Amino acid sequence: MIADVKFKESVILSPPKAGEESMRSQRSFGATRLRMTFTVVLLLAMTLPAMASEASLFDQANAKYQAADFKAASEIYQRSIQAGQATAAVYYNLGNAALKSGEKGQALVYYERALRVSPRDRDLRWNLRVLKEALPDKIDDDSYFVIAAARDLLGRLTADELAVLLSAILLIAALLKGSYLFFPVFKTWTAWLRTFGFFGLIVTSSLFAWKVWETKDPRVVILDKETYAYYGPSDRETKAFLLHEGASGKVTDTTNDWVFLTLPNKKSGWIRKNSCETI
Amino acid sequence: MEKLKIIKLFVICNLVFVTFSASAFAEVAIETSVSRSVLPVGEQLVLDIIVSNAEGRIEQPRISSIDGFTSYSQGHSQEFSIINGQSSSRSVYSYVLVANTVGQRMIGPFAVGINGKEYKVAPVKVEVTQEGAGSWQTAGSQAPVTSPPSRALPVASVGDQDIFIKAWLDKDEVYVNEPVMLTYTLFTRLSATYKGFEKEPVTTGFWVEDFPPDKTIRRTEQFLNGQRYVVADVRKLALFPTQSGVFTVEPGTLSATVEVRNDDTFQTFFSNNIFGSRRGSFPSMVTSQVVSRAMAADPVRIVVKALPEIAKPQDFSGAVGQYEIESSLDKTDVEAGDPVTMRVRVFGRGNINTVQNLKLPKMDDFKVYESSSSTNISKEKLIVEGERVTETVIVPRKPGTFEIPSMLFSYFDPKTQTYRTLKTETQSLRVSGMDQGVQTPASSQNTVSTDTGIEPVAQEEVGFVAKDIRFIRTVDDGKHLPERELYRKPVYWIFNGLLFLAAALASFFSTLRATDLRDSKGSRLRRSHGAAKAKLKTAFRLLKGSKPDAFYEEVSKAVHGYFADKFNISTQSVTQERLEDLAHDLITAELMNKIKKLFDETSMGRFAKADKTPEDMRELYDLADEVISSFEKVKIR
Repeated sequence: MIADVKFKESVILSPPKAGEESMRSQRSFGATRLRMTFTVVLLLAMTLPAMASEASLFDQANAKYQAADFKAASEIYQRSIQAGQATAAVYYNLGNAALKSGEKGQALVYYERALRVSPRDRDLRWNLRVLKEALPDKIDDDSYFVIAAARDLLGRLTADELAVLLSAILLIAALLKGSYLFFPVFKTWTAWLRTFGFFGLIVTSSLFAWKVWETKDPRVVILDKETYAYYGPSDRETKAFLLHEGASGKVTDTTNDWVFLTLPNKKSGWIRKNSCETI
Repeated sequence: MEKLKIIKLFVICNLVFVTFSASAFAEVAIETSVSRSVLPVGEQLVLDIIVSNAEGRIEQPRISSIDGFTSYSQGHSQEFSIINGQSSSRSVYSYVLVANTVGQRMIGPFAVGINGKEYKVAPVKVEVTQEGAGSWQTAGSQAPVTSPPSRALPVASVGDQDIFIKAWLDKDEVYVNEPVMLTYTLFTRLSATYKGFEKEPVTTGFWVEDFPPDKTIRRTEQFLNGQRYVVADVRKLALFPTQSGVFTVEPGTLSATVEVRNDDTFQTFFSNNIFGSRRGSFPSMVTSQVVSRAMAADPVRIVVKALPEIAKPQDFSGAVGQYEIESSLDKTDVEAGDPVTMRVRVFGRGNINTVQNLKLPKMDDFKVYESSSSTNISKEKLIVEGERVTETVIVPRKPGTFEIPSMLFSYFDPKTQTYRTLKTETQSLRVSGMDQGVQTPASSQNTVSTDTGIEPVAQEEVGFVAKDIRFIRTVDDGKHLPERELYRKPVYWIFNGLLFLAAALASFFSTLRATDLRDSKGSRLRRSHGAAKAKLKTAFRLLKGSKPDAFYEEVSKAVHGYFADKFNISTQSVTQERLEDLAHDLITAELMNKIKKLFDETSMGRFAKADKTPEDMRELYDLADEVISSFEKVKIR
């Protein structure tokens, strides 16, 4: 595939060079137009193969997946990501491929990455639920119903969405206040908007603050089948608890080989860096 | 010391005894009793010779050969009692007799020597029947397992080499779930009886099936280190390892009773080896005693291999052994809506508990109910066999002929070391019942009757058959993962800050304006000068236009309006006196005089009909302008 791409580039790249030489000698109006056309062609030639290869990488991987060759599929998806196509769809498919080949922890990493940009994707949410039901560790954050509902809402919004929403509210507020300077009568007309805007601002900014709090620390997923969390960043420390593949938590401290993991249920301990992967 | 005391006590007792014996003792009586008078061959009875009220020394009863029985002594007991001054004594000599041949037998007569005098004992009649296993010895729980004594030893000298237990496995290496037989073998050179386990074996990691004890425990003779032993397998267990690894089984401790010689009998000489070596033909002439002995077997080690991963069938669920499978339907011709029971039977050798219920394939035309299953294990002939019967009720939803697909069952055969997959036969089922649709509500579900229109059916919950992840995306959504979230970029916060600032500023200014509108005093104050100037300007134009009345009117308005605004009072209430009152401590006397003059001249101009020269008017205009300009500098609280 890569050889094929190179071949295309070389073929299309060669004519402009030949053309330029001949154009210089002629110096006609037509030559300039020709040069422009060649430039466009050249630009297209540079972008098109790249696009074509990405599209086909994705399709190629999908074909492998459908043929139940999940290892090969995930390899090609990963190549696609390295080529810069790190989209939610690729990560979702990669998660599926990992899960089908039995790597639950790895699948969770990919799904969580996809969730960062498309948190309301129904398929993704379903798969995540199925996966989490199949994980051995039961880590509950024992929160109340209201908090759980709020957390669910928070989980359906990305940090960027909340950031944009906050900015939008601020923008509307600025515009509204500005308009009052010139049209004081607006003030009575838009009283409801101010009320909504005020509550919107409070809700949005608190959700945003929560989201920032939740996402500011990197999160990791355990990939090893079993790993112990210690009370300190060393094997010699006391073992705190045992984690299995797919357990995830926040990292609030790191050393060279160890990370300090805090689980959603507030238990925390040091685990080896190579036993987990960052989402 | 202790012994001496006992002897002393004994002597005292004897003295007492002798003193009273002559008068108190009744006549000597000798009885014999047997525990049963009819017994099958191979079983045993207990013969008691009871000597009552004997005075002096009682000799061991001389039991001559009892024809058709093998006998040995079970011991000797003695008791004394004194009731209401009447003393009595009883000596009981017990023997165990094992019947060897069929027929009427006489036991006895015997002779007992008491105080040198010989007493005869009457014989007892016993009938030996043909029943029983034909073997000369049967196992009850108390049945002696081993032969009559090849020799009896003093208690203290029973050693580990005389009687011991060995636990052994029939295989050293087995697969997971493949049975291994643990056998307990008792080796003895003495007369011993197996009593059971004192400490059960520790079999963690194994599924244990205990074989029921044999009716007859087979005994053989073996020579070990030049010694003759009687050997018997006393217990057998089938162990099914549940996981792979190397395991050690602690076989536990078992107990047996051993017959040992009584030290004080003078017949030791005879019993030692001359007669003892031939079993059964000579009676035991030994008084002996039964002691209990506990024996621990050495731990056994077993290697459990994991089942091979190669060629492991997809549906393999852990069954190991040799199995067969069959399936059947209880009816092959039914009406729609009628239940049919499908029976699947898996049977064969192996641990049937590891055989899982076979799952029926998904059948859309049937309602499938939960299966029930029963398991049956038999342990005949030292083989663990079993069967598992799974019954599933299925209800056909609509008429037609249906094939119930075959089911697969895989197991591992440790003999051939291969996986095998069995398949049930497909069953065909004819479902009728369209015609009866109206009568039976169940079959009416699929009928659309023209008379009643469309009838609602009993609806079912749509449940999941299985849970799996959803399919992959086939189109890339192009939603790239962000390198950094917006909130991690300072630009975002600067932008938000600016927006906030803009909103705050706009809010501030509009608020300022709103207060202006509401606060008339302030705004009057601020606008007073401008308004007065504007009015004076109009007055100046009137001056130029030679309109004196209008001029004075306008100047009056300007002056009155100015001071009214300045002091936030109504225009009408602005008078010379009021002004003096309000402003006397704010302004200089000179300015006050000017104000007075201004008021006077304005009034004069307006109301006096005197001539109004343009110079006067000009002078008044200048005065008004000067007063207002000067008053502007005055700060009003």
